[in-house]
Amino acid sequence: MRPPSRLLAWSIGMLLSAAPIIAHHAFTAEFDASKPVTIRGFVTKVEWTNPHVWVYLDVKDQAGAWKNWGFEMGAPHQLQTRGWSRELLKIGDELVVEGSMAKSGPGRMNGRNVTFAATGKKLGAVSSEGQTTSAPATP
Amino acid sequence: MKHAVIRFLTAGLAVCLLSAPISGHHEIAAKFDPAKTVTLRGVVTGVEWLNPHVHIYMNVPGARGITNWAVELESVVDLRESGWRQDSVKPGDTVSVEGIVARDGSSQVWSRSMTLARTGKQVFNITARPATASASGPTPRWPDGQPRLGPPAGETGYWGHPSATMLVQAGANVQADAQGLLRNPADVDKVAPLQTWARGLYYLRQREFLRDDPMYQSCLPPGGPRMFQVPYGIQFMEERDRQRIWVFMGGANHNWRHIYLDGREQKGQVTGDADNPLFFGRSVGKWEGDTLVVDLKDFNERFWFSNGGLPHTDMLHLIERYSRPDHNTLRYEVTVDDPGAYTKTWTSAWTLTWVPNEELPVYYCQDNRP
Amino acid sequence: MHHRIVGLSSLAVALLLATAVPPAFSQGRGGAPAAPAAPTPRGTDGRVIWGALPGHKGVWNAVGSTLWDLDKADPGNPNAAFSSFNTGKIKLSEVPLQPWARQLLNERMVDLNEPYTRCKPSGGARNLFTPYGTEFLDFPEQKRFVITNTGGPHTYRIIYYDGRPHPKDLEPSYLGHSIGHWEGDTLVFDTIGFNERFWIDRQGTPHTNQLHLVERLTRTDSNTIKYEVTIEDPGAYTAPWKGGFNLRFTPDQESFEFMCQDNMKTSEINGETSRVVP
Repeated sequence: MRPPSRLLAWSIGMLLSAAPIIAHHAFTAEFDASKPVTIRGFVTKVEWTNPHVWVYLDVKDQAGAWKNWGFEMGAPHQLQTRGWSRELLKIGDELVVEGSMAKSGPGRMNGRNVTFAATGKKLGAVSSEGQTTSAPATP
Repeated sequence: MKHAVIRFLTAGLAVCLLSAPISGHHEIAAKFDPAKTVTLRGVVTGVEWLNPHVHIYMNVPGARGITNWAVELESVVDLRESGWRQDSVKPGDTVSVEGIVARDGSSQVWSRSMTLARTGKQVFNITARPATASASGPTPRWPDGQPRLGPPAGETGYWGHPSATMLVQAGANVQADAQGLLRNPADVDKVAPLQTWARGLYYLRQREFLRDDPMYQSCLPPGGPRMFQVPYGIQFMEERDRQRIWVFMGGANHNWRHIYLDGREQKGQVTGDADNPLFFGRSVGKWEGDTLVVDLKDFNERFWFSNGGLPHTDMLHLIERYSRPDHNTLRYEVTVDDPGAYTKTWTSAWTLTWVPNEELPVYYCQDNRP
Repeated sequence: MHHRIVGLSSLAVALLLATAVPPAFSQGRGGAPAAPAAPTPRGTDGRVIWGALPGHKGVWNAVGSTLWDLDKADPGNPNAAFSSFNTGKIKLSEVPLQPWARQLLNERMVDLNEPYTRCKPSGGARNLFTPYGTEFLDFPEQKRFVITNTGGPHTYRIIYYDGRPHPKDLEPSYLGHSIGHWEGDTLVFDTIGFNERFWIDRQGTPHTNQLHLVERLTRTDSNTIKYEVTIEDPGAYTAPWKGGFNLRFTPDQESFEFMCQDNMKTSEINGETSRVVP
């Protein structure tokens, strides 16, 4: 049995700790934070679904060839409270997406934020990267 | 009341079950070709004891050396019920398998019969369990007289053994297997009042042996009436003081769904599912006499709402009617209203039987996925 | 014909809580806890009410996602969000892991590529870390307690307190077989029969099919459910050990439909395929 003082500290810690946005799963399972990437392209498909929304863009590479990229965002109900809706993205919209590449390489990434080229509007993607820590620094 | 009885009896006669594997996970013919039979004999190298299908791997000597075959069997739930266990066959055992091979040419076979060499006896065969013929009794009721859909106090059990496993309009007479694969694809016109495009899609799905069934391909849930026709049962837990009913599934992904009785509108919650059309739709209900009438809408199109692949659109609107005419019988009646896929509304009905003294089987479609 | 009398009159507990309804408060962004906690709500039969009061909404979410604390803070770790430091839990170095299990945990903690991500149900504490709303349902007539999840596999878990034993021939499962009893207002339950195809927490603390849990749930006040677990697994640990955490009440939220399989890309991204399934 833990000493009572530690239990008390833990209990207080639990009461005081922030309720974070809990990610559906760990970022590092699929993505590599050491491989930042930014893409610019045109929306070809929107999968507005659980567990994660996925959006696909046709992106022109430096050689001028088109490649279709997919980027992951948060769950619909998380996005909805942060400026998104199911109808917001339209096929053909031009977006700039910053985030981290999938461990499997180019073509898939985790989106951290999305800028709409036409308006300059920038929205967070409720990425599972860099979630608020669940622990207070000190009890 | 009598009219309703006649209606559901008619629907019950409409589907004649052919020799059907127990499996409700997918149409066997979607993956395996019934015309290509094979007999294999070899040594077991591995056993994957997982739902929806157990697989035995075996090394089979042939002209070009040894080929490792994957042998597909029924689910863990069904094999256990027939008395088999994970170690009924072990790596190192020699077995013979008679079955049908995979359509894609891979070294996979669906086992129709497996014999264990060291015993000379058949192994992993399913001995189908009939619905328990337990004594019924009057409809169980709450103190205020309302019928109880779930287990009465002190009892346990669940609803299983649907009398029909295919959705077909009342009055129709078609032959199909337990997964809804029509014996005669030309019967598509009899099944439901399909619009032309939907008839074409339904026919295509049937011709491809239900291969594209999202439940088979991706373990997506059997929303709508299909929930009451897939294996492994349903249970209702009524929270009367919360005006909410939980519908628990034993099969598919062992999910739950709500029926709200508090008079709310059918809309999602802002921080919940507000923007999403759903697999199970949004259910609101009320009791009309001894029948629970439930209205469902806001479905997405990413699943099949029936065994056999009848199409639907996001305009799908269902009215379900649940009643319990006696202790052991749940009558399920559904009105399908989808102006996007059908030329008129239509109804279907069947019954489920109480399985006493047992709990819902524990089955997860996701089990043997990577 | 039959009046459906909503049993509010039987929950005169409302008089206890009339003055303590929490404010409509979004818990999404890591705000402070809800209004000061009221005493544990009860029905007129004296039994604890485990969810929202009838007529109100609310679900539960775990605070944090760990059973143990790191020995040293590791803020630069990309997985820092899934570990805790100095929160009063058993330290990782004190968790009596067998050597093979400690090594496995170290490997798992690099990528946190847990089965939950691939829509597998996950027993033990992991079940209660499922996001988007957990409910605890007490059905005294059937003598069972049901825990449901919105997120992850959107499934449910049953704890039987009708006195039944564990079945002799138990098929191992993701959530195990749970039997329990009440000690006052605390549900104490014993679970065995786990398979090894899931993780018991988000970090991947190992277990084997010998895992035996004794868990306790107590609604200590209107805002808090306390969860405590004793983990015993002679296949992975040299001794039993204890963990625990709280769940916090999230008012004005209801359980909703969430299907992990809807668009789960993890296997595709990680190139995980099966020889025998699509």
